[in-house]
Amino acid sequence: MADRKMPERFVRLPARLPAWLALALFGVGLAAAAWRQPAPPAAELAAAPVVSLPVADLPPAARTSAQRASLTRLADGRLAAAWLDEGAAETAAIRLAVRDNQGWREVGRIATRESTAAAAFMHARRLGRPILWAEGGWLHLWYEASPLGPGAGASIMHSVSTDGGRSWQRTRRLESGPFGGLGSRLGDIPRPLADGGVLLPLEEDGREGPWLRLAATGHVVGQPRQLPSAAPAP
Amino acid sequence: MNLSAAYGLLAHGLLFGALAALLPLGRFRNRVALAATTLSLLTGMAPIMLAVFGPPSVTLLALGVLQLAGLQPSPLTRWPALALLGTAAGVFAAGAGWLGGELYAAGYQPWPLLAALLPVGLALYWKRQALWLLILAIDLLAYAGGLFANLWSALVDPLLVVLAVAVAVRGWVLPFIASRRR
Repeated sequence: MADRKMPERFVRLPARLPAWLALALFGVGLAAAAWRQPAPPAAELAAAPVVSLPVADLPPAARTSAQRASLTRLADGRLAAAWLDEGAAETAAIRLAVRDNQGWREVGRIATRESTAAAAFMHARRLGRPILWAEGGWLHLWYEASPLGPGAGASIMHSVSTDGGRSWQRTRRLESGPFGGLGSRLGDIPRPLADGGVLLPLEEDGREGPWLRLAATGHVVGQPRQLPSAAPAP
Repeated sequence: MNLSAAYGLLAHGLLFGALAALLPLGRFRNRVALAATTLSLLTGMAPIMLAVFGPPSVTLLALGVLQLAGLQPSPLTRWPALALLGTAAGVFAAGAGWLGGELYAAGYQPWPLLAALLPVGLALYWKRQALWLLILAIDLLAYAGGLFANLWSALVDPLLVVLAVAVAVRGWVLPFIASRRR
């Protein structure tokens, strides 16, 4: 009899919670949330060197990609390019190549459906356009992972490499909207901020959307709809 | 693996279990719920749900856990469902860019949102809604723990909206059907 009453008592516990105790917990939650929320400085754009190449100068495999390749300059001055190798749906991947004195040298596949599923525990039917971004010794990769197909929106994934793109860690989904994996897609060119963060462009229904403000650590701290002004020159 | 991904996967598994626990299965209810949770993780349903809808809100997870625990009646009655729907309508419209987007973006640095939640919490206390107050507290603690970058994601999500619509509509549809049968 006692064994049968224990679960019942346990089940009724939340319903019998004294209101003052719930209010106290709510107060603790409110204080903790206020303490945790990010307080980044006012956003100011930093100067960014424009990295672009004619299609003929891209790595041969990147020239045939349906999505444009993303270029960035590494801390040691070399150029890096990431592009979507769509191929068959099962073998789709984001590939990376680095250009040194001898020309383009392919590093390999840096994101696949399998690596995305393994890191984020989520099914990805297709991958989408990549954005590559070097900041000091860190190389950031953002790319789209679409659960239903390209027309139905995508999740935006973020990976980091600290060894020039040979290995990638901390792959995770960014919270860019309230619709989960059916949300905004990636835009074109990110903009660096004076505080070390970056503004990541989003697209909504094929038109320019808001910007996702990321701290230098890669965490999302805001979503402005307009670009901020540039920081005054030193 | 990261905390948010692990939370999303396990939470969707538990929600499948809570869905199965709605079935009138008598003494097999707990076993079926456990089997549904396990199957959703093993067969890939939970990863698909995570990919499509993102991690569920803590509000929805709390309601699912209460359902799994057999707490009856559910705290999601008609008025809370309508309140959730009103809130979610504003957030989702903002997220889609229809209201300028500021309401959803406010969840990333949520001072105004936290200030607005204070009277909501006091009103729940005044109405002796300890369970909703507790759910709200857990939502806030989950945000504070770094599970979500946007406070709105801890409070509402698309699946919760579907559930709230079902609860709100049931309040009108069932009496309507009953009156037609008389």
